[in-house]
Amino acid sequence: MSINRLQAPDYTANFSFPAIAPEQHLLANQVPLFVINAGSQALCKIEMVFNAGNYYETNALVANATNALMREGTSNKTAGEIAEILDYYGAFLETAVYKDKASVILYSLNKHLHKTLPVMLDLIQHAIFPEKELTLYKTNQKQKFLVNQQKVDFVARNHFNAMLFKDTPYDQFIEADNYDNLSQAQLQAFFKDRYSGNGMYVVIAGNISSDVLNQVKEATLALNLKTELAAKPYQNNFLGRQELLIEKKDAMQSAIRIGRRLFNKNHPDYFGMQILNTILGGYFGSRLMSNIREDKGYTYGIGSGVASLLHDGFFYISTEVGVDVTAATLTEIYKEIEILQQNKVAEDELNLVKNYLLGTFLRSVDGPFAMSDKFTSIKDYGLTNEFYKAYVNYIKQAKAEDLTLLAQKYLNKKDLSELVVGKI
Amino acid sequence: MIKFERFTLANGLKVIYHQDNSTPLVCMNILYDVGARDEHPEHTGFAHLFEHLMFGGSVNIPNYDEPLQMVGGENNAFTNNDITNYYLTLPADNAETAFWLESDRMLSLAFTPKSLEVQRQVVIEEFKQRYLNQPYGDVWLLLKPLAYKVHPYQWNTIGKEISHIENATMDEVKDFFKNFYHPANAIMVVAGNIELEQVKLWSEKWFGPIPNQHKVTRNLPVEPAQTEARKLVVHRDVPANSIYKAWHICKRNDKSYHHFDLISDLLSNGKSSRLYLTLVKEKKLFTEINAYVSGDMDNGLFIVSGKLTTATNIDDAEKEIDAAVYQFVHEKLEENELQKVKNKVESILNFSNTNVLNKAMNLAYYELLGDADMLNKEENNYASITAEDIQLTAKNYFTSGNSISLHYLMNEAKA
Repeated sequence: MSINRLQAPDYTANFSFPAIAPEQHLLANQVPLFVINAGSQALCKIEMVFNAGNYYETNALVANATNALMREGTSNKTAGEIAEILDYYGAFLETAVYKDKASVILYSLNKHLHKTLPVMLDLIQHAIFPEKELTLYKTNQKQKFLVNQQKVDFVARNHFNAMLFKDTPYDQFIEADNYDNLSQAQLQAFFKDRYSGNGMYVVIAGNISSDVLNQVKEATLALNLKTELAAKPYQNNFLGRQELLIEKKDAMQSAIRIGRRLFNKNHPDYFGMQILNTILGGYFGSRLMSNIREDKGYTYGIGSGVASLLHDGFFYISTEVGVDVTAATLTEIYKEIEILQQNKVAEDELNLVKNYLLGTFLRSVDGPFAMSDKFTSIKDYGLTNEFYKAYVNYIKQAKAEDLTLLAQKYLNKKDLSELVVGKI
Repeated sequence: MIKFERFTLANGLKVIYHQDNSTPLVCMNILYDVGARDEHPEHTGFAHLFEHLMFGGSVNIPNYDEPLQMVGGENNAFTNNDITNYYLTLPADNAETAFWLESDRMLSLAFTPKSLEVQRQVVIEEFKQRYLNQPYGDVWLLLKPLAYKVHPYQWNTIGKEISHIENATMDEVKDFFKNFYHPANAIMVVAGNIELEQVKLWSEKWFGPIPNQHKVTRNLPVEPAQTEARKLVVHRDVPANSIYKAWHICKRNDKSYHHFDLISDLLSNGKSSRLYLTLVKEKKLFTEINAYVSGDMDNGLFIVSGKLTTATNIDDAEKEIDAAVYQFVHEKLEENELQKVKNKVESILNFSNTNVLNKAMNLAYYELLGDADMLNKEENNYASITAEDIQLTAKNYFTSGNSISLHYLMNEAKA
């Protein structure tokens, strides 16, 4: 068989995407339960989501400590007993805190769910935050923080967030003292307020038999919504460009962050910014990667992103580069942004990015766990599968002119803050 | 149970096929039987540098990534001591693009000088980012040469030193390709929403014409048994003292490997594990502690590493680790505790099989170990282990003469 290796095989960009539309049950106690039934292995992921992110804390780290220590003892079981049951039945209990919300997630084989799910339920209902567990947490987490403080990337993330969100509930600058200042009373109060309030919901994904569903329903019904959560207001006062250099005399590489406050998934320019960001720094073939890694070899990696928050959002570029090329990298980053403002993106490149984004979206909805993540990431914004349909349609019809306008509107240097941790 | 089919092309390329119609994707995983252990001692870091060059264009396709992105695909690769593994996923409708791209770079690379120049710089930045500009980043650069005196595991995948990467030449690149990048030295797995007949057709069409070559026979120096304990103490600008204690163990393919894997789970997997309960929670000697096996194809290492709380004396810390490890020699495990870690293994295997890319990678790796079907036997391999097995293995390997310790301490000024 003679083949022409110069010729790429035929391809299509018409993918069919599964709908992110879980089956919904509103239980008698008003807690919504969402079910994504797919997958062949007899196992499941149960995620309970709460309005308990850093946004709501009055002292730094309270949201993190509360979430992490829920598993360290209840009025029924010690930390050791909880760990023993979960480990014995091969379950994984994850706790996670985000800016706006917090989750407790159980991964369990279906056959052991009757042993593992009650443990999860117990800690959500009856966590007590024992003093000795808190003391241990403070010591160990503080040491981790001090180790992280020696990483330019970590220091940059911490400071950059504070630069962008100064004086808002999203400003979560962390210092070593914050660990010492945590108290049991703070955690118990935060738990009482935030883990039994309205707005919580449950998502279950995996191979969901009727038996599994019934167990989760029963467990969810046992949750008692006690408090009516007060909304916390947000003032979106954009600060404009700031510059900061944090010198590390022994650094071999500098961490760079450039970015700004932007908007969230509900904004009409959100989809367009996703495409523009991808072209600039959102994939391996991006302009920043091509120029700064693949052409100049200044870095192991450079990327950019558009992140959504419930009341705000931000755009960022991040990299670690050799200290000798830090200044040169900054110049090249701004140059690439200016090119996007001045010249239309070529059709070939735009097509490639469109297809890449459609393929990426297809990967991101592959399998029940991926679909449940896709669901929780829009649920709080009041969005449904229509959002994803609109996203796919937007990508397909997006025009190069639109992207130039977005670059001119949102990526002006006067609006972009710049942080360097290392040497310049 | 992961069902699969297997066939071999005339040029020696092994192909494994696994169907999963629940995904809209197809994965292709190509494992090349070459890793850092196959490098010359004066030219280390080469297998990994070469992995970067595999993305620098092939003989007929100037850019690897662009055509893949154009069809909605994504790829990555990794190199370790033993293997170099390339993987991609793409929408099932566009699967032929994977065959086209991967076959061309198995046929030959473009070998452009620019690609070598740039990737050399990229890898040097990677060296700095991951090993030099991080607290504790150089631990493995210290530990491996302490553990291995003759076997090539004495250097890390990134290389012994930056100069080895700086000095790589195009001739070496070409030689490396010729020796290791050919059909008989590769295992290809195609998994996902695709039919067997299609995989056979496209494998023949795109990979079939690649000339066959003989597989290079690996002849590595054997690390002699260690009879006296080794110890290294270093001081660095770090905020906490830490300790790394290791013992030489068996090969990945040895029966005892599973015993060590369970021992590491017993010691540190989960919040009910022994080291976490006693040394972190009760005695508060460590802020974190972990036990793990290196899982290398030649004789590997069993490692316990931890960071100490401020008040802990480093020698006390080491004694506690020794006591916990040597307990497996002196005391037989309770049935209940053994069952716990077996249940955990069962769970981990089940969860890892929910992802088609994981399945593809696992099939390739087990095929290299001898038979892809070993993936399906793993659950049973673990389930059949007895407390006596574990004690016997512990007796054979956990001796003080066979141990290596690294005390990684804060600079005196800071203490």
